[in-house]
Amino acid sequence: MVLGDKMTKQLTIVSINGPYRDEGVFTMMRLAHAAREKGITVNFFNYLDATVIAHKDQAPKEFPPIETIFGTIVKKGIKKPKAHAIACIKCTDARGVTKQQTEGVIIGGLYDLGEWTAESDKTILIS
Amino acid sequence: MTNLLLVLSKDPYTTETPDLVLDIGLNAKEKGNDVSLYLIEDGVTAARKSEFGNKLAAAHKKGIKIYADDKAVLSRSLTNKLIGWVEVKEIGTLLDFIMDYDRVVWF
Repeated sequence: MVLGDKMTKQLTIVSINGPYRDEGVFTMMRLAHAAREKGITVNFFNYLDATVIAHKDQAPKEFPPIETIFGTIVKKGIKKPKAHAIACIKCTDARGVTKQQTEGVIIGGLYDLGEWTAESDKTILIS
Repeated sequence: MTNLLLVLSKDPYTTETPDLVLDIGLNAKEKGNDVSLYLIEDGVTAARKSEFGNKLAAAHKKGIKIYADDKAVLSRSLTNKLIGWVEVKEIGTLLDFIMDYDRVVWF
């Protein structure tokens, strides 16, 4: 479980869609960059098909690999403002992606989302 | 009074979601709430000068503020093709709204 930093504002973003179907994941990345500029800590909760976002070794031919972009944000988030990422274990197990999540993504569950929701200033679900 | 932010990411011709969003916004406005509609991704096509664009214009006259994401507008070549009451904003504005509004619903 990752505990948020109470000194800064926190935004939890719950994502449920996988990459490449639409722009949703890229919108999430844009929001994360904007949050970094404004000093807002971002928590990513990747749920359902969104657990594929951080799956390693993606090699799309016509799109930037979303795992690389997402991983960069999470790794940079180790410094302040933080960016944490949790992938739902039931979702990753179901999709066979539990052991291949990019660096910085923690395997967790809905109890973690509950805690993030309680401690965040705002929680949104991008669908 | 509650500040309600509705974020619409779907176009108005594939599903009934945009109509639902507009109905929610209008009902919330009628009940005295402050309502903003933020169009993003394919949602910006809803504000084209069209039948649905006319619905948005009518909603604006009833007090609903309408915003559109700059990159979504630009990438679809919709600059200068939207109804007149739409304010085009960058992603930082959406983030500010998300953090500041009482309620945020993403469609």
